[in-house]
Amino acid sequence: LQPLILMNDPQFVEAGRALGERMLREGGGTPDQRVAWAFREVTGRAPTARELPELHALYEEQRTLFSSKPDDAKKLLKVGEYAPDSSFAAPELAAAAVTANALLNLDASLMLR
Amino acid sequence: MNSCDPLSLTRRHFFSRLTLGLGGAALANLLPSPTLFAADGSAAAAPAPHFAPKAKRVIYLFMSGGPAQQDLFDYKPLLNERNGEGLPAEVRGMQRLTGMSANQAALPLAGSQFKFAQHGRSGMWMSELLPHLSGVSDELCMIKSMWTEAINHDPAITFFQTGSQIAGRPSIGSWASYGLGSMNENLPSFVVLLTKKPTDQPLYARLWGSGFLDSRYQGVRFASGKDAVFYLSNPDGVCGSGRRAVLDRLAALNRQQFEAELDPEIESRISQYEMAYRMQTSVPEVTEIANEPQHILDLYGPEVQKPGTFAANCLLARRLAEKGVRFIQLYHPGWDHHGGLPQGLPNLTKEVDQGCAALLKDLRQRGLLDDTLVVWGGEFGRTSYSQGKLTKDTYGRDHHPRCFTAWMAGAGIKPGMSYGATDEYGYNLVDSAGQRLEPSKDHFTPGAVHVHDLQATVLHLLGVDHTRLTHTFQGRRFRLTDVHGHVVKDILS
Repeated sequence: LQPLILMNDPQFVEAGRALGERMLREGGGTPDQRVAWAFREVTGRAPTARELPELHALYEEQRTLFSSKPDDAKKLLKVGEYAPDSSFAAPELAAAAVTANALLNLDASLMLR
Repeated sequence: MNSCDPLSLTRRHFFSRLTLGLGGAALANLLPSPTLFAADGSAAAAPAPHFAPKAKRVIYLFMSGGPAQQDLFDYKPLLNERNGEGLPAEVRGMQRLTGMSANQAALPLAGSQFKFAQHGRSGMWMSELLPHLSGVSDELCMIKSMWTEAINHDPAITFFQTGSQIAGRPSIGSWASYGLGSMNENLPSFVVLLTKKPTDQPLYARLWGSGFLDSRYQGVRFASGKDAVFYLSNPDGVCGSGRRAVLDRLAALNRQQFEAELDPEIESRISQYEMAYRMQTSVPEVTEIANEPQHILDLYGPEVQKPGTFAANCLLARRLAEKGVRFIQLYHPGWDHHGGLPQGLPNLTKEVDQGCAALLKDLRQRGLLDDTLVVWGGEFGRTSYSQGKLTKDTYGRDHHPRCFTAWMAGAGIKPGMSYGATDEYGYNLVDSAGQRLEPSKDHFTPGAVHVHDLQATVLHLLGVDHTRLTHTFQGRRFRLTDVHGHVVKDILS
């Protein structure tokens, strides 16, 4: 089933980690800038005014979650072979990774119509 | 690509242009319902059948390769009497042969090397290769007069699965779930199980594909190993509530995309993410056989403990049936005995015989056989003459579309009967008086069962009129049975 592979297969979790790291490094300083940057990377367009708050909430929920569960964040960063950038805190990186993986699951990033 | 509404189309307007007949009823199910996005697994409103169904679900045991009817079910002593003599030209008639035996200097009749005996109250003939199935012969309706138009594997299998020899149409299981909906929102309504064994004849995923029907109706193949579905668990570090939060945001974003694009496949994607989420719980439940009592495991035989064997898949089929999966299709490849049949065929029957009988007994004792239809058969039959050299010890049989045997059992089927007959050579269909039949798919020929007739009968038992289950695509309505097919009423209980 495609959703299980795209969300759970280590290869796609790892891809999310790498994209998430780039989002932190290249995406800008604010959460809105970051998710808008990552969204554009995977879909080729800017998010709409209605999409942006959802993206923002997606990211912030994961940041809150992982800051309360730093051990989970560390576990996630071990999935796959890509070595995480240690200059970022694990919860920050994990939240970005899950957000980026979610974006890779969007219809908008998978389908060209 | 933006959120404005192209051409001011509403989705209701979009669907209303497509609706016709039951196809329309099924399509209506695509409209967003409160349960479509629900995570609690509650069933969405299902489209209704045309009339009261006898069968709630189907288990189709597909024997790919083409089992030799002369060595299993269709007893032909004449072939033994005339072993080695040529197939008379008038018996062959205009039948085309495959390139594998068309250039043979002779077509020597090959008598079966296996002993036949009669079983059960109906005196049903079966060969010694099927000791377990013989024991449940009173449950079976043996159809000895199947016929098809295809003579090579892939078109023949595709014909059985989709009603067309050319790939691309929806599979029979997809039609069933499209027409009837799901009985358990936690599992796909069309599940496919393949026996794990080496084969040079691959079974492609398009055989259980949904074609032009929405992708939510495609068959979901469970893997033939320890894990039935790969990547079922969240990655390390992702907890249940974290995943739930992601899925909710993902659904909201995909819904916005749907509103911009109006492509129903986006709604399917949303529902498939929810299905995947629910399967994370439901699949381990249904595939875990540790709690099956020993006497049940014994019924299916020792192979049941090995994931991916036919026996293990039969037990899994019963468990899926209990959970309300609408259409469960098993494939067992390897029946293509062009040569060395007396040596090869017993391996195949050993692989499936006990599992088939156990499945019927197990369904029966649970009362499930009353509303479960079981179908067993391949894509065509095999020739009464030997492909390759006929010797004292061995022979082979080539593909034969004109007659072959399949059996059905369970819901709505007359048990303990044989239907249809072949001539003494096992080469042509004959009527009850022994007169040769020239069946046509254009009208119903009593005694002959065309592929479309079998499909029409399966749908009929599910409560569906095969002429009314349609889907409009590229400007015309399509059916599983094309413009053919007749319900074989004589085999209905």
